[in-house]
Amino acid sequence: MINLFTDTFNAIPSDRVYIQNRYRGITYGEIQSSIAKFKDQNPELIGRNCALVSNSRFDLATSLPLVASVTHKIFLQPQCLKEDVIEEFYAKADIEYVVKISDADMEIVKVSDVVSLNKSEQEWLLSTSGTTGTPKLVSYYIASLMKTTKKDVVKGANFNWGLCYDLNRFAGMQVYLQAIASGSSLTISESDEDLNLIVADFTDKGVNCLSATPSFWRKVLMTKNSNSLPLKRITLGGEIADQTVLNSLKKHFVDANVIHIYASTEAGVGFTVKDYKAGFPYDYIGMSKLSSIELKIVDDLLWIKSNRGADTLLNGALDVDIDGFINTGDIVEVINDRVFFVGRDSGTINVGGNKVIPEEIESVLNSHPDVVQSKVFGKKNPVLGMLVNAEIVSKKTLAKDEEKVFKKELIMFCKSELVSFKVPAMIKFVDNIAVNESGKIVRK
Amino acid sequence: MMRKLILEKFNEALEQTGKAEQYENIDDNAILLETGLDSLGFAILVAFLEEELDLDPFQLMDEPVYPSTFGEFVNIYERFND
Repeated sequence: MINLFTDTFNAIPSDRVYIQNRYRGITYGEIQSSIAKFKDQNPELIGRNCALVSNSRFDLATSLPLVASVTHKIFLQPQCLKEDVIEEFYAKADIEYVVKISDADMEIVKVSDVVSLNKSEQEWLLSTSGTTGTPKLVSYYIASLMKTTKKDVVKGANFNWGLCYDLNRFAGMQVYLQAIASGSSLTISESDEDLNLIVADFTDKGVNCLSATPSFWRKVLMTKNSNSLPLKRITLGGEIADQTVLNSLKKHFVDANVIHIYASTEAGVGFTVKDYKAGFPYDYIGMSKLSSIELKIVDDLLWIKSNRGADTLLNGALDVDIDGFINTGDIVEVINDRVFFVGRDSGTINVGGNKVIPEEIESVLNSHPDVVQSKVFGKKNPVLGMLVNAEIVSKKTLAKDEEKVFKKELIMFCKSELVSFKVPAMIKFVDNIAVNESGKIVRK
Repeated sequence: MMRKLILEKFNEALEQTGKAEQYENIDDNAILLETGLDSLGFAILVAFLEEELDLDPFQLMDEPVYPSTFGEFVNIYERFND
C-alpha cells in the first residue's frame, strides 16, 4: 500500500520548493511538518472518506497532502457542481467529512455518520466537468493515477512545472503528481488571473515545463512577454492539437520539446505524440507498441482499452463494448498512415441533414495567419435546421469596415478548403473565447 | 425600406454562396427558387436578416408559411416587423 505523501516526500531534499506563487513558497520540508501536525490535530479524519474543496489552487495544493495523508477516500470536489449532484456524489462515495478551504482557513464539517473504518488502498475521486450531460465521478488508486509519471528525484531538481489547470481536474492532477513524484517545484496560477501576469510570474519563477490546452497555448502565444518563458517541455492536451498550434509553439519556443497527449478522466492517460505532427501514427491502432493501452476505430470513432483508466466509475455510464473498449466519443480520420482527430461526436452540427464537426472548421480558421483563435457552433435556422456560425479572435484590431473585408476573406479562405455547407454562414469578431475550468472551449 | 434591405442581403447571400447573379431589383412575382439562391443561400439570407432586424419571422409563425415568390417573402418580413 502506497501513501504518496509519506513515502515519496521522504526521498526529496527538504529545502526544495514544493509549491510557489507570486506571493509565497512552501518547501517539501515545510509541507512534511504540516502533514505531521495535521495528523495529530485531526485524528477523527484518519481512515475516513473526505471531500476537499477550495476556490484557490494554491490553497488546495497546500491542504491536499495534509488531508490525503490521513483519509481513505479523497474526493477532489470541483467548485462548480450543483447541489443535487454534490449530494448524489457524497452518497455514492460514502463521504463522511467535507474539508473546506477558503482564504487559507480550513473548516471541517461532518456530513454523514461514519460508514466504516477502511484500511484498504486509498482512493482518489475525480469528477468530469459534465459539460455534455451529468458529470461522472470516477475513482482511482494512486498507483493507477501515477502509472505514467516519472519518479526520478535527482533529475526532478531541474524541472519547474507551471500549473494552469484546476488541481481538482484530471489534467491538473496529472501535472501535480508528475511534479511531486520527482520532487520538482510547482508554480501555481489561479483561474481568474490575467494571462500576461501569469506569463510574467512563470518567467520570474523559471517555469520550464508547462501543460495546457491548445486554446490556452494560443492565448499564451498572443501575450507580449511569452518569448521570455524558459520552456524546455510543452505539453498540449484536452483538445485537438492541430498542426498550426504545434508549428507556432515549435517556432516560438525553439528550446522546447512539444508533446501532445491523449487522455481523459475516465480512460486515464492514453498516449503521447512527440513527432511534432498533428494526430498520431496509424500503427498505434490495434495490438501496437503501446503496451498498456489498445486502440481501435469503429465507424470513425476511436475506442480505447487501457489498464491505467479509472478503477471504478461511481456515477455516470460509459459506452463499453464486450471486449472492454471504451468509446471515447472522438471522431477520427485516417489519412496516409496517420490518424487525425476531427472532433467530438456529441458536438456535431446538423446543417440540412449534413454533419458538420465544429473542430474541423476551427482547424481551417485557425490556420489563417491573421486568426488567433476561433469557435464554431450551430445556430438554429428555420430553413436548414442549423447553420454554421463562427466567433473569431483576430490578430489585428479591426475597424468596422476592415471587419467586413476580413469576414469576406475568411469566407473565401474556408471555401477553398471546405464544402459549402461547412463554410461559416455568420462570422463575428470577439475579444476572447471563453474556456471552462479545464481550459477547453466552452461548448453548450 | 424593408424591400431595400432584403434586396441588399439577398445579393450578399448570393455572393457568399458563390453565385454569379446580382440583382438591382427583383420583381414581386419572381419565383424564389429561380433566382439562383439555393437552400443554403436562403438559410443564410434569413440569418442575415435576423442579425439586422433581430427578427426571425419563421420562428414566430403559428403555422409555417413557405414563400414561393419574392413578394411573399418581403411581405412576411413587413408583417412581422411591425
